[in-house]
Amino acid sequence: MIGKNVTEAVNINIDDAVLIERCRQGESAAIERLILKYQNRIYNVILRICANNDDAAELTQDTFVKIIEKISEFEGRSSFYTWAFRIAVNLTLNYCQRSVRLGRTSLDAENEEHTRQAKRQLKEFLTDESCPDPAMLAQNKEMYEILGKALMKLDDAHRAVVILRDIEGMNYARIAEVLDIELGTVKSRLSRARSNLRKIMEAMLQ
Amino acid sequence: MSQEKNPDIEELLNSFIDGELTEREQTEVQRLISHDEQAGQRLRELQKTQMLVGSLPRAEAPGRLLDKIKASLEREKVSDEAVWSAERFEKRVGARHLLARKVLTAAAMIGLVAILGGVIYTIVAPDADYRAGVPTVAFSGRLELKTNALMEVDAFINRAIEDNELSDSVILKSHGNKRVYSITCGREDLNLLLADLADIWERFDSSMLFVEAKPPGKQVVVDGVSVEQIAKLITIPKPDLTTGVEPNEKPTRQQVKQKQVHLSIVVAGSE
Repeated sequence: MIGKNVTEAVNINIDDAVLIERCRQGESAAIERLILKYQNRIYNVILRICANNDDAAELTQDTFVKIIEKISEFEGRSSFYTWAFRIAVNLTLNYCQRSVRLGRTSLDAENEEHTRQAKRQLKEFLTDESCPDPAMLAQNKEMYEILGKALMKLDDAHRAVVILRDIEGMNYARIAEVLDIELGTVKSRLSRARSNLRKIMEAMLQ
Repeated sequence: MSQEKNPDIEELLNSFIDGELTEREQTEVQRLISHDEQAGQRLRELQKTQMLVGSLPRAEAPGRLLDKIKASLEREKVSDEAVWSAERFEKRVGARHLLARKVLTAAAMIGLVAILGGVIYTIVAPDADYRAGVPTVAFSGRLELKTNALMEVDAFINRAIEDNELSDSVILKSHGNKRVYSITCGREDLNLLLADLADIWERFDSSMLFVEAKPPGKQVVVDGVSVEQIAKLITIPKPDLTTGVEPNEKPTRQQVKQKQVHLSIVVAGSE
């Protein structure tokens, strides 16, 4: 049901400025459309950063509540999309920091066994230049579990920049806005993050 | 598999992958990888990493997320309204308390000023009688007596003054055949002195009493006054001649006992 609504909401393609103005006036239909328009993308990014379905759902909920509460303060200096993701990422990174302090990090791949097949496939993909498109490997869920755990071994800041770039597809300038950092910092951070991720995966595949 | 790389080259290769380079920079990177096998290898590794992360399946938000968000927004709204109401109530109560405090403070200030004013007035304001030039005594009068036995009478009065221990309260002046005893003392003391004078009252040829009255400067004259009449007169307030009404307030015993009176006894006569 909801999945259908999402598709419809995205297809309506109502201009954000109009939606935001109607949300400011307290129009519940506009609020609903705004949520439906962005909930999957925001949920996906949050999930990839925190790696826990329940936490991601709760953080997405908190994000939208905050967005609606603060929407009257949105000045339009950045796009709504950037502003909304800034709220989502900040909430998630704060949560991750608290979780680390509380020892609640959800993934610990150190002692987990993955099938040889998943490891072999991933290793081949990373090393064999003739390996086909990764979409062909998508059916192997275990391979993505390894990747997910490798991502969780990155620093929160590195993980966030990789996810915003490679999963959400943001350009460097928008990432800088969302994370409120300099463009040069985005470049260096992304470079180190990808390098570290590769090292982590190589270590996991040994 | 991978080695430590030059950070600048790494950043350049990543920017190349992400399409963040200018056309000239892209040309430089292409030239680099065509001449540097390691750089080319590194570019492919980074591309693989990027492709792998980018191929992660997209997760959809849980089905009931919208309902949960709406419910949460409703709760926040109710909570905000409750907080707003509570704050409003507190503000109103606070405003009332503030007003009450202001009123009480003003009342206290007025009361304090009134008390201070009273105290200051009591200290600095002159007595009504003093302002009018009248001695501050309950009774003030002059008793003029005439006698043919001035020496005998003088001796008697002096003795009576000593007997009643009024020496400190009497100023005696002698002017030829006239003696002036200016006495300022308590009423009872004066009464005792007058009681003694009653013993020689028959030696006086005339007796006239001048009583200070209101308004100041006015006098009431009683000719042929007796000792008993004088004793009675000194116990009542000064007669008020402005209204012609006799004072009807009966003095209390305490007032009679405590108040000072003044009587000048002028004895004129011959030996």
